[in-house]
Amino acid sequence: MEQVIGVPRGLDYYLFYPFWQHFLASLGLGTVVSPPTNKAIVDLGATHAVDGCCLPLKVYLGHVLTLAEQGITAFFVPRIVGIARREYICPYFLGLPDFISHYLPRKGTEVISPVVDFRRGELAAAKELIRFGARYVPWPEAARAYYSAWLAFRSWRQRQITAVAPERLTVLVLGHRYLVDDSFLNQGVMGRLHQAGAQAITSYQLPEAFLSKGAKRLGKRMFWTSGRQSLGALEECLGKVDGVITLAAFACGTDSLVTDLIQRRARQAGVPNLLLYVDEQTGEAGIGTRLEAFVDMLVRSKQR
Amino acid sequence: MKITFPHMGSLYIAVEALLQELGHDVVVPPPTTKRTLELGVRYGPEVACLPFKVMIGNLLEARALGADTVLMIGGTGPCRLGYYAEVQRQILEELGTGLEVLVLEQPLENPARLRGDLRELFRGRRVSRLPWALYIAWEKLKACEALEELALVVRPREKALGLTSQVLAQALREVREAGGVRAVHQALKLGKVALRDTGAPGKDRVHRIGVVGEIYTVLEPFVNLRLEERLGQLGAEVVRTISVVEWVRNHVLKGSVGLYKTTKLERSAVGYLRGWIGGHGLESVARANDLAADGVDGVVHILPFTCMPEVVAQAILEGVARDREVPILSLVVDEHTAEAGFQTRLEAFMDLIRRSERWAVHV
Repeated sequence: MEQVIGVPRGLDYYLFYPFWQHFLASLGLGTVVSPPTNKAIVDLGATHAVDGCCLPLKVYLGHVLTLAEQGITAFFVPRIVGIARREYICPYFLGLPDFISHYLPRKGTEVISPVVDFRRGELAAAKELIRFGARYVPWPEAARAYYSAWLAFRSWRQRQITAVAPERLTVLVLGHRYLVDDSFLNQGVMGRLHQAGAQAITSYQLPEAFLSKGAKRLGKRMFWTSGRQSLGALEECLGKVDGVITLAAFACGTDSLVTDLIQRRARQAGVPNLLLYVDEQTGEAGIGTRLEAFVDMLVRSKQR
Repeated sequence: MKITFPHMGSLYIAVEALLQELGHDVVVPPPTTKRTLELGVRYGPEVACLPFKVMIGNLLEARALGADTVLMIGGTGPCRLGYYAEVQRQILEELGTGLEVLVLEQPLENPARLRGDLRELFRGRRVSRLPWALYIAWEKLKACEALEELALVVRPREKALGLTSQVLAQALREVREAGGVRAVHQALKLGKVALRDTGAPGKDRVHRIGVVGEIYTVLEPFVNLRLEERLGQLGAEVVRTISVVEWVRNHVLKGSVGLYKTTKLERSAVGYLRGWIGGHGLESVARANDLAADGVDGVVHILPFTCMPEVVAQAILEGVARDREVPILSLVVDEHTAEAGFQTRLEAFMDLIRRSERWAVHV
């Protein structure tokens, strides 16, 4: 019987899944993705994980354990050192496979974790991933699989770049992608903004060069990819957006400093900004009320 | 220019000597107290880790004593420490403190900025004194660490409760006041004799407890609620695995020429952690493993709340404890950590260790 690999729908899933989907399929590996985040998954992760870890990591663990309950024994948990030159995502991504292995029975489970390290350029990262692929298929085939997956990934990224309609009320939503895209964790912030008639843009809907240009103006080079993208987007969008919403996860280490930098910068520039911290107790009503009030305020000041 | 820097354990003795030898007017921040932390909590980001808040407090207290320049270290991640200086600079600026922040970054990070900061640091100073200043600071650093490590050994055997800490404080004061390298060595020698003298005879066998964790919380007694002293007074000899001397050797001397490798640590952590995860996460796992192999009676792992690398280590250490059958206590500290609860947990941990040993004898 062919082994099915479980892919947890969390953390790197939101950054990389189109790549993995193609790559793993070309290597002849069958995958199953865990269901979208729900209350049971959050609770499962929060019950098992050590206290101090951040919400997205707890949820990721919840996804892994949910897959395990479905009888999956192999899990795809890459060790992501960095996804851009000289940058990291955060220490959790570095230790992710080891962290997850700790919560799985040692016998009878397998954690499949290729190393993703773009800090020394794309070539070095490609070599590492092709070497990983060569464990399943001959290496030329692995190289081809890598290349086609890379193309698919690039076009996926390009498709997300969206133009901003200048006349509409525009809100810049900043934060880790696995928070912004997980509508359960953020209580549907994007949908709510849409309903309220606002146009929401996120940092990954903006071209990478645009973000890097903004990030160059920082006092110190930002070494967390998500932080660089958020701060870069903020720098470039000041004056072009009506408001800024920052989504942050409780106990997230990078957010603790990045949100402070975002808020200070927005304050100095006179842009209305709202900081939304989410944790496993966050309720729908609280977030909804705050969002409504924020959008109302933006609408009123735009009319004036 | 009056220069200051944040505290980390007894490191201020070496840094003060270094800057003074260069001809700086140095303001050492007052010892960290509750008030320091309150200042940090008030002005630092609410969710920043504890070391950040304490450091902001240190700098503000030093400013009240007349400091106008801050010396900080930088970094390139993934640990938060690398971005401390930048956020601190912005906070201090917004508060209108007028404190200027000079940052020692890795040379290739932003050469122009570093050159500017160094020029500021050395302007009108005796640059030719730098080798000598480094030498005396290095000797003071080594002396302080040697004294502290000896204190860890003698404390569980002390004649009267608290005697070791008194003698240690005096010895460190003498190292701090020593004017030359010879005087430092003299102070070290006398300090060692005085420390050895605090021991009571007939208390040879004591429990050995290893301490691993995030460097700042391990070294800063205010933040770790005097963990080492508490353990010592509960009758345990503490084995410290964190050393600033080693850190300088590895990361500054070897690291700057690319000779520092984590291979040895990775070998110790094999089966648990497959590589470096930033901060001291790999060290914590590797050293806990080494300590267990070395036959310590228990390990205490200390970390600030939400410290990313150490949280990974914390989860993994549960596995180390199970496999190696060594009790490991993870202590998370933040601004709400209270003394009574902390002490109770340490006492319970020591009781557990004593009891498991008694059982071992009966089996």
